[in-house]
Amino acid sequence: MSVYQVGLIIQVCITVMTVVAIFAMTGLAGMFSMGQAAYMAIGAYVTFVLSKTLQIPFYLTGIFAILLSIFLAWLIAVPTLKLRRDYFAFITVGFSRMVGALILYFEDYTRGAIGFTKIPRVDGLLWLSLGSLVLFIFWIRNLKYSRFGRMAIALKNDEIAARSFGIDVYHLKIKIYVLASAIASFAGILMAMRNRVITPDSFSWKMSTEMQIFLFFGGTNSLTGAILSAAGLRMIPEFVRNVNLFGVSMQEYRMIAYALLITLVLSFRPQGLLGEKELNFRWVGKLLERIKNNTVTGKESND
Amino acid sequence: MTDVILKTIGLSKAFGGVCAVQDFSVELWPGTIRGIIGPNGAGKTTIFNILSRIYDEDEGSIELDGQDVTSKSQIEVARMGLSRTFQNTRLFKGLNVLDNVKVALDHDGKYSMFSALFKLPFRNKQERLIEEKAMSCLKLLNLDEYADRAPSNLSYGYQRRVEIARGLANDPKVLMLDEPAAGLNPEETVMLMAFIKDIQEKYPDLAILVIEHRMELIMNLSDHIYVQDSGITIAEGTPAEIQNNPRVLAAYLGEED
Repeated sequence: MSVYQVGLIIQVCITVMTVVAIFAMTGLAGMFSMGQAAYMAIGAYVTFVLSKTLQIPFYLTGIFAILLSIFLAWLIAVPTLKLRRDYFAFITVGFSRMVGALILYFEDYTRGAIGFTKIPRVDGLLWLSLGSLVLFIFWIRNLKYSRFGRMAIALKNDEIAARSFGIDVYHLKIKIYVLASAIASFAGILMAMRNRVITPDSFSWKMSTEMQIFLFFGGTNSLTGAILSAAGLRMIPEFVRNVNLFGVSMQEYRMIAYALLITLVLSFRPQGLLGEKELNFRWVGKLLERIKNNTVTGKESND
Repeated sequence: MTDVILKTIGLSKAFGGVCAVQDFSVELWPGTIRGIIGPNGAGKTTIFNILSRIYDEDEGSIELDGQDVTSKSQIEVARMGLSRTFQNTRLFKGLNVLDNVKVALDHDGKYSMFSALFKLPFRNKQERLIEEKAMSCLKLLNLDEYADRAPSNLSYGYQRRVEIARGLANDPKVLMLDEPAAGLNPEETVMLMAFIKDIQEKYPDLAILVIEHRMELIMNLSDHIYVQDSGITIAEGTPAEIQNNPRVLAAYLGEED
């Protein structure tokens, strides 16, 4: 595989894992956050700036960065998840702007808008990305089919009804938000390792919006949909990068294309491309059973 | 006689200047069905919302199973065994019938989020227990054949029954039904009444409180009826007593000039 292909696969993995995390938050628990890119920024900046400044290995600072993201997510969630959903979304926007501003403010360490480039080369990044992606998909799938997933779907539908079944809506939301933010933070570290340069712009609101679009395109109720749409929508622009339109690479138009797509999907198929469908392997079992039955009946007819 | 399970004294609640409920007192014993009737705007649902702690009362006291619950939250009283349905069916979309019933048991699930994420054996064992309990509840009420269906694919009458079954899954002490027959056609209403009678037989220790504004329905179901009008209890007693009460007739049929 060429370096470009490996890079693309890693990028797709990163996108899919962030969208999978957002699925847990928005798809299951109905929390609409526009600031998940901020946790990616925290993961990326804290890991590598700290590693460079303090001269300690980045996997130690990486763990610290994820713990810091968990702490910050908890800190933000505690006062704001008592508010109504729309207010919560506003506050996440504010948080993401704040993180961007802080990166610029600590210019001496982060090199501000120029971008931080002192990121070591890491071998086996492809396998790390693939492995962690599989782990996160496994996690979130299990979450969906656990009591936590059911309670989350219940509270997304109707918080008052959920409470009337003794569900502690507030603490469940905090837990899921913190989990989603920790995964985003990890994805941010991977992204820094892939790009080897990070700027505040690489984690802007555009990225948070993009992730939400990917989720809604695939269907907020379908993990399979979220994965497929994130992978698909991330890769399609890559195929047209060499095609020029008005003297600019077609890839540059992707935000316009996404905006159009999501408008179309939400108008004509509001439940997203896959609705509530999930990929499962029950049909394999059914197929085997049918083959078995066929052979049995086949034998009988031979008799 | 067994002890009273739910008891309120002098419950009052006003919204702005409007008095929604005034001086409401109710007593409920295990194994009985009591009804609250009254025209629209009589404060019936407000009473339910106060009892289930969605609203705080302005005055009065509520005792559930011998414990004062006025300072408890909605979640706490639900966990103490106060179950309710809502006027509009509130089955959870995106969950099938069985999962909807499981939700009622999930707050009490024993496994942590960690074992859920990694799908540990302990989680699988607990999940099987939840499934068994939910399924036995559906079987008891003859709804098990719909376990895999999406609630939106069921008829309105069956949605109502599933919702009531869900309210019973966690073996509550009190079940409050908010206009269970609202929106049902006459045939479905008859079936629903048989269903509630059936519940009374199968859950002998359950106390049921029903809100209804259709007279004939509540007369057949309840042992004892409270009549509300503009927030005030204008009469209470057995169905026969209520039927002949002049104040009730006035409130329902309008006074003759």
